[in-house]
Amino acid sequence: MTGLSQLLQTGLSGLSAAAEGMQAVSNNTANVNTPGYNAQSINQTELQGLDSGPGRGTEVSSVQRAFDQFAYQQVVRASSVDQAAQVAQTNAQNLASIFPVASGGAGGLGSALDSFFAAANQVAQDPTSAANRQAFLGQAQSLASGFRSVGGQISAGLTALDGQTTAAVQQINTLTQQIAQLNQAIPGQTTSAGGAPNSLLDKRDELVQQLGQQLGITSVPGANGVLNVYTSGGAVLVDGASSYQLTVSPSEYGDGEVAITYGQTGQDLTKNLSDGQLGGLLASRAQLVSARDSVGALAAGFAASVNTQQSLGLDLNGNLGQPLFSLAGPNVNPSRSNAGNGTLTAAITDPAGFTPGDFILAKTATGFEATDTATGQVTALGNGPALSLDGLTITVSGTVQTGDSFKIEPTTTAAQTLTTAINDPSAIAAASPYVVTPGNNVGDVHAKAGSPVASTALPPGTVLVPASQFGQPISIKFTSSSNFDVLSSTNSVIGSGSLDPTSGAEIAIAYPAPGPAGEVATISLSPGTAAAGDSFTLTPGGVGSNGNVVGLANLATQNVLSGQTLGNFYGALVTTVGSRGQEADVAAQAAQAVLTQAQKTQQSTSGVNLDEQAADLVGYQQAYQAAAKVIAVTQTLFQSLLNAV
Amino acid sequence: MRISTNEFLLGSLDDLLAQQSNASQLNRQIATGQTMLDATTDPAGAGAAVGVAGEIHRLAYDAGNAQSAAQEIQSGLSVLQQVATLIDQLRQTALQGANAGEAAATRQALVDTAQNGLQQLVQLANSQDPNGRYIFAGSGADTAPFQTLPSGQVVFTGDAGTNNIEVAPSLTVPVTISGQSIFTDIPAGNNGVAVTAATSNTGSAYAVPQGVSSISQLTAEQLAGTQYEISFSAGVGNTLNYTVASGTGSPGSASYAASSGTVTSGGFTAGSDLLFGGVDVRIAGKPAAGDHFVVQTAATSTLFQTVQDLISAIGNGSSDPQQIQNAIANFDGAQANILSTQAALGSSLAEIQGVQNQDGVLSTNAQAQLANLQSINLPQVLANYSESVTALQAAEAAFAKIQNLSLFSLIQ
Repeated sequence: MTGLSQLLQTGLSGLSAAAEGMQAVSNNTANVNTPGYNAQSINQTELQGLDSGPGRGTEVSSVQRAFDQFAYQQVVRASSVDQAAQVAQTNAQNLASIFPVASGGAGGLGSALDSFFAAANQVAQDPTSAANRQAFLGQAQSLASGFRSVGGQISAGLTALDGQTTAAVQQINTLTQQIAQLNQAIPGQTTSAGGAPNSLLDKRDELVQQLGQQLGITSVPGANGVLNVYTSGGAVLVDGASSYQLTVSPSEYGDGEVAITYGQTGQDLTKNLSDGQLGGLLASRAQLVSARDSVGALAAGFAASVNTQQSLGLDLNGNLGQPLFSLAGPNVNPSRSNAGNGTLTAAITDPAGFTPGDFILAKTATGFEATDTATGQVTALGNGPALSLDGLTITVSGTVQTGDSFKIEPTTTAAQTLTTAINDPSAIAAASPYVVTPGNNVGDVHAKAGSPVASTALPPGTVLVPASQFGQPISIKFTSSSNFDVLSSTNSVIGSGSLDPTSGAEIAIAYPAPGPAGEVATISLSPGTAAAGDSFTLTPGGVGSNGNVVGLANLATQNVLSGQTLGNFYGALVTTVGSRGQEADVAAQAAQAVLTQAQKTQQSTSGVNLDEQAADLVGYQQAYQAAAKVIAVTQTLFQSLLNAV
Repeated sequence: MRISTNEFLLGSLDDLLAQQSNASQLNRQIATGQTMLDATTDPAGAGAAVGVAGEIHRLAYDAGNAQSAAQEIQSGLSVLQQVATLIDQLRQTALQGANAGEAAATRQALVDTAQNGLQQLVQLANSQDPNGRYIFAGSGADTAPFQTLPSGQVVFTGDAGTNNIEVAPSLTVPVTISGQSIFTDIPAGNNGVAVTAATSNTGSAYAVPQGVSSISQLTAEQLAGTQYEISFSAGVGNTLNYTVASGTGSPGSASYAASSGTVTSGGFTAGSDLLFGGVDVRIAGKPAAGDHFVVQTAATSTLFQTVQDLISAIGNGSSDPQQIQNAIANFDGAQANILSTQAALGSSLAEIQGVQNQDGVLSTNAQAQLANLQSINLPQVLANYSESVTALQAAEAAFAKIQNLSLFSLIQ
C-alpha cells in the first residue's frame, strides 16, 4: 500500500532526475565549443516497487559520455597524419618558392646561369673589350650571390625546422607528463558501479589527441583504466603513471643534423618517429637537405668546370688563368665514437660523374663501405688509402679502425660559400694557350690548335712537349715530307714525330702548375705532304684570342655535371622540388579529407547538437513540471486529509 | 545522420575557405598572366619551362654572336676591297713603268705613286675594326701587326691565330682573317713560280712564267725544292742555244746541287716558250749569250717587298723589265689570294645570315613553347574565376542562412 509520503518521494525523485537531466543539458550547451568534450547524458533507472505494485520513482544511475573508442582513435590517427602533411606541405611550398618558375624561371638560378654564359659569349665576341670582361665578372658575381642566396634560404629553412623540432619535442614531453599524471588520478576516481570520471577521461583523450598531433602514436588501455602510449614505431612514451622524456641531441657526426633520443638512455629514436608535427618536420628536413645538396652540387659542378676551363687559357697578361670561383669543398664529419685517429679528406674530382647526396663511410672488416643516407644503398669501396665513389675521391690518412665511421657531405655548404675569386677583368683567361702561324710553306700540311685534353686521351704517336716549355714559342719543322722536329724557342730539338697519311699528327704541350695536372694543349697537323723545311710556329694566344672563353661558353651545352648539362640539372632539380611540393599538396588534401571525415564520424557520436539539447531541455522541463505537479497534488491530498480529520 | 552543431558550422566554413583559396589562386594567375605560380603547380612543366628559357637565352646569344661575327667579317671584307683596289692601282703603275722609257720626271711621278701606295698598303694592313682591334693581327689584336723597320722593310709581327664563334647551336664560324696570308705570305708570281734575272745579264730579255702545264709535276718539284737555271750560250752563227738545268739550293752557290742535270736544251727562238718541270716560261726580249735566269718553283712574296722592288725597278734610271714583270705577276697572285679570301668570307657571311634567320625561327618556336607551358588562357581563366566567385558568394549566402538556425531561438 502506497502512502502519501511515498508519493511525495516518487515525485521528488522525478524532480531531481529532471533537474540532473537539465544540468547535463546545460553542461553540454556550455561545452559546445570545448575541444575534446564528449556530450554527456544521464542514465535513469526506475526505483523498484514492492511485489506487483508500481515503481517508486526514478534515479540517475550514471552520467554517460557519448564516446566511440573506434571513432576517437580514427581521429587521433587522422589528425596525426594531417599534421605531418600540413607541415610537409608548408615546407615544400616554401622550398618551391626559392626556385621561381614564372616567365621561364626569371630571377632564378637557371636564368642567372644563362646570363653568365651569355656574358661569356660577349667576351668571346671581343676579348679585348674591358667592358665585356667587366660585364662577365659582374654576371659571375651575381650568379655566385644567387647561389649563396638560395643556399642561405634553404639553410634558414633548416634552422627554422630545428627550432620547430625542439618546440615539438618540448610539447610532446609536456603532454606525455600530463597523460601520466592523469593515468595516476583516474583509477582512484572510478566507481565500482561503473560510474566514470568523465571529465578526466575527456581531458586525457584530448591530451592524447594533442600528442597525436605532435607525433604518430598508438594508445593501448591498460589495467585500472590507465592508458599506455607508444610511438607508432613502438617506443614507449607513457607507461601507466610514468612518462619517458625525449631529447633533441646533435647527431652522432656533429654535422648540424638532429637526432631525437630518449632523455635517459640516449637511445636514438629518430628512425622510429613518423607522422604528427615532429614526423612532418623530420620528413621536411630530409627534403630540404636533399635540395640543399643538389643546389650545392650545381654550384660545385659549375665552379669546378669553369675553374678548370679558366686554368687552361691565358689571361690578358699572358698568364694561365686563376680560379674564377672559390667555394667550400666536401664536409667530412667523423663519428663521436670513432676509436682510431684516422682522418679523411674528400674532393669532387669528376663533376661529370658526380651524384649528389650524403653518405656514411664506415670501416668494416672487409674494407670501407659507403651507405647512402637517403636510399640506404651500400657500396663497398675497398681498403684505400684512395677511395672513389661517384666522381668523389676520398683520401684516408692515419689509422681508421673497424667500426669507425664518417659522414661525408660532398656539397652541403658549396652553394652558400660560392664566391668569385677574381676581381680583375684582365684575369679572365679568354685566350687559347697557343696559336699556330704557318711558315712560308710549300706543302699542303695545315696545323690547327685544338682543345686542351687529358694526356691520357692522346692518340699514340703524339709528340709530348714537357711543361717546362709551356708559354715559350715552339716551332715545328719538317725534315722530310713526313717527319718533323719540334724545336724549342732556342731551336733545340725537344721532340720529333711523323705524319700519319690518314690522321696527320698531334703535338701536345703539358700544362705547368697551376694548370690542371695531366692536361695538355694540343696542336693537330693535318694529313698531307710537307716539303722539307716547312714549318709552323706556336706562340701563346694574344689578347685578341677567344679560344678559351669559347670553351668556357660551350660549358653551357656540355654534360659537365652528373652526366647532364648544368641547365638540365637545374631543370631536373626544379621538377623534383615541384613534384615534392605537388605530392605534399595532394597528401595534405587527402589527409585533410580523411581527418574531416573522421571528425564528422566522431562528432556525430560525441558532439553537442544544440537543437537536440533544446529538445532535451524541453523534455526535462516538462518532466520537472510534471513531477512538481505530483508533489503539489500530494500536498493537496495531504491537506484534504488533514481537513477531513 | 546526427551532426554536431560545431560540425554544422565549421563544415560550411571549410567549404567557404576552399572556395576563397581557389578564387585567390585564379586571381593571382590573372594578375601575373602565368599559370605556373611555382613549380608545384606543374613540376614537369616547370622543369621544361626552365629548359626552354635556357634555350631562348642561348639562341639570343647565338644571334648576338652572329651579328658580331657578321660585323667583324664585314669590316674585314671592306678593308680587303680597299686593298684589292690599291693593288689594281699599283699594277697600273707597274705597267706604266714597264712602258716608260721616258723622262726622269715621269718615272719620279710613278715612283711617288708607288711610294704613296706602299704607305696606304701599310695603313690598310694595320686597319682596326670599330672596336679598335687590328683586323689582320691574329690573336695579338691590340698591337699593329705590320711594322716598318728602319731599313724600310715591312715585317709581320702578328700571328695566324683564328677566332671562331658559335652562331647557331653547334655551328661555329671563323671570324678572323690572317694578315699573314693576305700581305706577306703570298705564293710569288704564277703559282709560286718566280724568275730572277742574273745581274750580269747583258741582253734585254726577261722571263715570264705563263702558266702551269702539269700541276702534279709542279707540286712534286715544289715539294722537292727544285730550282731551274736557264742559261743561254752562243750557237752556230748568229743563233743562241738554251739549257735548262735543275737542282736544289741556289744555283751557282756552294749548296747548289744539280740533282738531275740538264732538263732540256736546244736552239732558242725569240719569244718562244720553254716547257720544263710542269711550267711554261716565256722568254721575252732578246737574251744575250751568257745570260742566266733562275726559276724558283716555290717562291713566296710579300706585297710590301713587291712594291718596294717595283719602286727600285722604276726608279733605277732605266726600267728593270724582269723586276717589273715579277711585280705584275706578284700583284696578280695577291689579287687571286684576296679574291679567294673574299669568297671564303662571303660564304661565311651567307652562312651567318642563314643561321640568323634560323636562330630567329627557333627562338620564336621556343617562345611559343614557353607560352604554351606558362601563359594563361585568359578567357578560360576568367570564366573559371567568375564561376569561382559565384560559388563563393553562394556559399557565403548559405552560411549566413544556416547560422541563424537554432531551435533555442524558436522555443518561447
